[in-house]
Amino acid sequence: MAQALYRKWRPTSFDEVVGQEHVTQTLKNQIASGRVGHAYLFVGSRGCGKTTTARIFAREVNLAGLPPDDPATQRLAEAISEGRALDVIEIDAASHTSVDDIREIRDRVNFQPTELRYKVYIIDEVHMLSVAAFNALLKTLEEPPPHVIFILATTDPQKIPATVLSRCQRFHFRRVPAEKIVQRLRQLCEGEGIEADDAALRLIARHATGSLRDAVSLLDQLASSSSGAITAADVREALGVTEATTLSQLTEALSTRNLAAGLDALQRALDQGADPRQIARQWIEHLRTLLQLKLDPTSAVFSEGEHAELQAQAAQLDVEQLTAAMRAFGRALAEMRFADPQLMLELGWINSVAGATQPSPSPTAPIRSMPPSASHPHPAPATHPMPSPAPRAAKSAEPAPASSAAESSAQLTIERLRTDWARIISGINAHNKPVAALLRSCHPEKVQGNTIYLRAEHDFARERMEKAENKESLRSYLSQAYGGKYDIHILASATADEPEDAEQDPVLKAARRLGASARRKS
Amino acid sequence: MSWESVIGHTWATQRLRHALARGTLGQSLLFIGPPQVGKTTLALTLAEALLAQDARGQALIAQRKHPDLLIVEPEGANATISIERVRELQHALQLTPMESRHRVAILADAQALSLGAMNALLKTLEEPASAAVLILTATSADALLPTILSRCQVLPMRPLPRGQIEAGLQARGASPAQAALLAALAQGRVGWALQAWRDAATLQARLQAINDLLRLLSEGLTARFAYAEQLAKAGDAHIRAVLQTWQLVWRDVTRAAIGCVVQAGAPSYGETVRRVAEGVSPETAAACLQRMVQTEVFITQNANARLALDVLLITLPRLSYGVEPLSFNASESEEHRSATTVPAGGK
Repeated sequence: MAQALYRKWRPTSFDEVVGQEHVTQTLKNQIASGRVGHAYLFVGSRGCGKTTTARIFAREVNLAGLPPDDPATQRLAEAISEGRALDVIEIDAASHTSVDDIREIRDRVNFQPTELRYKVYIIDEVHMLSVAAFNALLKTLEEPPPHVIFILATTDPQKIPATVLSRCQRFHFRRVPAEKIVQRLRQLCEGEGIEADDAALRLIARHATGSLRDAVSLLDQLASSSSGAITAADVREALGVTEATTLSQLTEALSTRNLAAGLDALQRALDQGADPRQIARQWIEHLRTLLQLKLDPTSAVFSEGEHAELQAQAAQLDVEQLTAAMRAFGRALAEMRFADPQLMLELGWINSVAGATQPSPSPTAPIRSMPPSASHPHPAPATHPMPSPAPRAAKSAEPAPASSAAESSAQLTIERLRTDWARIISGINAHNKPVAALLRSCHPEKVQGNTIYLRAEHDFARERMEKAENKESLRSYLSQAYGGKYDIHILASATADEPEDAEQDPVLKAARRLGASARRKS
Repeated sequence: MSWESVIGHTWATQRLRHALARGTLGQSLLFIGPPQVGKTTLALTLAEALLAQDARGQALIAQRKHPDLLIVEPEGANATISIERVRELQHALQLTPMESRHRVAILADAQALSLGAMNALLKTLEEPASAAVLILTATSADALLPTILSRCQVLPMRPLPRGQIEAGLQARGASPAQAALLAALAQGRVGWALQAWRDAATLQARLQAINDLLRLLSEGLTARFAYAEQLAKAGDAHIRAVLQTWQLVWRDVTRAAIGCVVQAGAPSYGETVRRVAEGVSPETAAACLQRMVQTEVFITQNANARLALDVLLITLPRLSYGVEPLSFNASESEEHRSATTVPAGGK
């Protein structure tokens, strides 16, 4: 059975510890100047070198001042490194949580070390100690005998009582930067005779999010199971991340609001073995990059080619679409804990397209489209014919869709009308509240040439909208917004021709009595 | 239980076999995938490769009685793995193997480990005894401590494509029609397909749930509420099973309504999906799918089941036509058995 690489390559000197110079330098100085503390707390996320540093410190502090070439010294060093030294005691606090375990330590602390200068207690995963155990430790931690050093290590400092924190010298271990992880992996590959592409190592490092152990574990796994050199494709397969093409396909589909194309792209990625969670994370990350580029086109954090490609993708989408998609996938990602991840991914996609298609009638939209000085109660619709959202107009260089639509009325499609419906209503609301109220009960049904068919939810709305002045109000607004002349037809509600439902369903009957109307979905 | 008999997961098996052959297998492994996707089967197969030297050893592993094989599963009323069990395991792993060169521990459903138990396991995972191999299985990485994940070699196991399950079932002697239908309904869970193949009641339960859904689609609210009332009494586990089955069908309906390609597998199932999709708009289909997922989440979070189901059934569209119930018949003949695809459905 092969020993895990992260154990085999555990650093054995301060200089080998990667990315924690601020800790190792301080510890080295303390040893050199003889100002060693008696209680340390090492805090940091998983795999960034806490236990390793604790073991090195235990060795260095005991060997300081001894002649380095003496066989006796070397024997001691070896014993400590291999975990055989009687005076370096490593305790797994997660499986020794009780007060009795701590009492045992306390009772033994007073004995002199057998062969070394200091007795070093390394208490790993210390956050798991019970409250009583922590309290039992307090006195010893504050005033241990001069020959004892405590090193507590944890990933979770919030769980440690303040009384313990205040008795320790605290060292924060940082997440290891990606480029240092790559360097270390490269060293390891050379030492182990593993062949790996640079791209593969970079991908591993980026995914490890600062945990060297994660990175080495993954490298270990890939090296042990792949036959040739490790490639980026191997890494992607192991991590379940998808290729960049999936992301650009999704961007394309989002900009054209093509639900089916997006779902197919997701399905392809899943069939290739990508993990739904990873896809969602990658996609959110990608959207974030696009948004960043959109807001600040100069934010160049990529190579030239990438930058141009991403810039082109960013130009296809507006800020609203990007944020709607990020929100939808963020929610999907959170809900993956409870429901089928693949399904949530697909729903996230559907929602992000639908969310961008049907913006909720945001109250700020009509206000923003007014001139800044407008305290006028009836802003003439002509000044701002199309209530296009302010952020888009401000940020993007592309021509506002309103003006392009105004050039030819043929562009007014049912999809466009549905998309803009809420904005149209709020636009009309600004100068004709009754008509806006009626229109809230009407929905665009179809557009044939210049004739617009609206489906009324109930007869009242239909009767009122049939009135010439109300129709005229909508008509003039539409021609100002989109150009061209339109005929408007109001259709009767869908339920009118299917009354049998109402006869049978007691709930519907009751709802009708309360003034509701029912209409068939679809 | 040879490597060849594992259905699907070629990527994972290849990796494990390769590592075994080169002697570079890690000592702490973690298989992550949805329930019944084949995690324990793969773990047992690996255990066999590590432990069994002869037919007797293989038989012992199949019966889970091999002296060097330790299996820990969730137990008790709330299905957890306690810290005591982990300590026992740690002790047992320290011992020298009795018959073979390794001691293999399978920790099934590691997400059921209590928080204390997970923490207690950390040191063992990081530096196990030299002969020990720990295989953890879990349904999701989110449910485990990140410190556990970073100490294991993780093998993700995804739901299998319908075609692979179908082929696997046929290789085990299922008739083509049977295999196609089971694969269509399996949600990529090969374990479910095998169980349903052996046990007609499992398949019947799922078919029943689908047919209830099909019937309710053309019924009014009265019938729907009556159904909700009845279902709500059946207990959360059953409700969730029904909802998951509905999600499976409705996902295909939604895809068909949107105009995606649906790899339906069985023709009868594909036909059913197409029929339903004809009468549903893409928006409605998507909204209902969302509602179905939401309802399952609500039930998991202890909401009032009756109310949640009522709301779901109100949202469900009403079709003006009936859809033939799905049934398992052998009449699905050979000529149109090849995986049918559903063309783009209704508007």
